[in-house]
This record gives sequence, structure tokens and C-alpha cells, in this order.
Amino acid sequence: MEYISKIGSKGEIFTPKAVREKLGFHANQLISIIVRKNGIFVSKIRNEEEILNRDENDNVKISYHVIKSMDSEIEDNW
Amino acid sequence: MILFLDTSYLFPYVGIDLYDDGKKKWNLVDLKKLMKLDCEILYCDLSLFEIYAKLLKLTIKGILNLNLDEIHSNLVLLSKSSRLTKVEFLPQILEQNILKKLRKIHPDTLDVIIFYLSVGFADYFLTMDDTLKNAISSSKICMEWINNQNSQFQILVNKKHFEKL
Repeated sequence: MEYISKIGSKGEIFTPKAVREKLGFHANQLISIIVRKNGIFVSKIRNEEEILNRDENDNVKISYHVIKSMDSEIEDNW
Repeated sequence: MILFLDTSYLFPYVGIDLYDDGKKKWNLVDLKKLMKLDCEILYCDLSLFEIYAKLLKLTIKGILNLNLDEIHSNLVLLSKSSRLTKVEFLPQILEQNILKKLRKIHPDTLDVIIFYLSVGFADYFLTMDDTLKNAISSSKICMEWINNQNSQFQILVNKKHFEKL
């Protein structure tokens, strides 16, 4: 989805309200700005506590052997 | 005490818990307990690639239905973790003869490099892969090299409790 915004006199980039709400941006939120050839990519920087304190049931469960079976696929496709 | 984690131990950080025959093997709760220990915890930057490569492959195969943007974002966070210290592969001095010997006895290059680095950096290497430990234990040359490098070094397989180390 595309949103149109503008750059302020001091270089500020204003994120529309809909974007702020969708991505959970708030005042003083640290963000990452990655510069690409034709533009920038902005994303929220989460902290380690946030990720480690997530609901443990949210983690995907998978067999160790399935994970391990990917070893040979990676090795064979170097 | 310095611990070096094999890649499998890092999966819960990015949102993947490991099970074995339906029983919990290593999950986010285990990892969080480990991270609370009063010790240094290291991992190799190649593990970040390994995790992404495996999860990408499992997603393509349809075995997992993952949000790979979120996995990537969690890997970025892991790479900047204040608790888990990343050891970078490329700047290290690599003894090519030893790496060749290790690779001959174990069929996985990433495992071999990660293990090699652990000997130089840590007291314990934590792995879930007993084939690696068995291969190394049966190689006189590799055992001698480990003893010369780091005589206290140990490989711990499938260990979940570390308080008594």
C-alpha cells in the first residue's frame, strides 16, 4: 500500500497516522532507515526484552530432526 | 565460564521451538533461562545465515508457514543482542589443515566452522548433534588439536541445565 507524505523544512519525514497505527510507531520510537538505490526502507527497531517476553505459545513448534535434515540441503547447494 | 552455542540453540529466539518425538527439546523458556546465567554466551555469525537458510527452505517446501519478514527482523535483533555475543567468522585466524581434517570427519561445513571457532573462544560447546561429538572423539588428530588449544574444553550434547558447570 502506498502512502503520500512530505518532508519538513528540517528533513523530517512525516508518517501518516494510518501508517503509525499499522506499524505501532509512536513518539521517540527508534527506527531503522535502510538506504537503497531508489529510496529508503523504514522499520521499527524492537528491543530484546520485547521479543523475549512474547507469549511463549506464539513460537512455532517443529521437530529437531526436520530442522537437522536441512543441513544436507544447504551443504549440497553451496 | 564461556559457552558457545551451536545453531540449534538459537532457534527459539527467532520464534521456533524444537521438539523431538513430540516432546519439548529446546524452547523459548529454556533459552531465556540460559540467558539469565552468570556466564558469557557466544555464537557464530554463520548461525544467522544457517537459521534463515533452513527456515526459507522449510517454508518453500511448505513444511512451515512462516512470516519470513518477522524471522529476518528477529535475526537482526539477535545479531544486536546485548546478552548473546556474536563471533564473526571471517576475521578469525583459520587453521586450514585442521578445518580440512574436521570437514573430512563431519559432513557439514557450517557445523565444522562453528565448532572450530568454539574451541578458540569458549569452555563449552553446546550442541544437539551427537554425530559431531562422536566424530571428533574418534579422531586422534582432532582431539590432540583441541587439547593443545584449550585443554579444559568440552562438548556438551543436548544439555539443558547449566547451573552446575
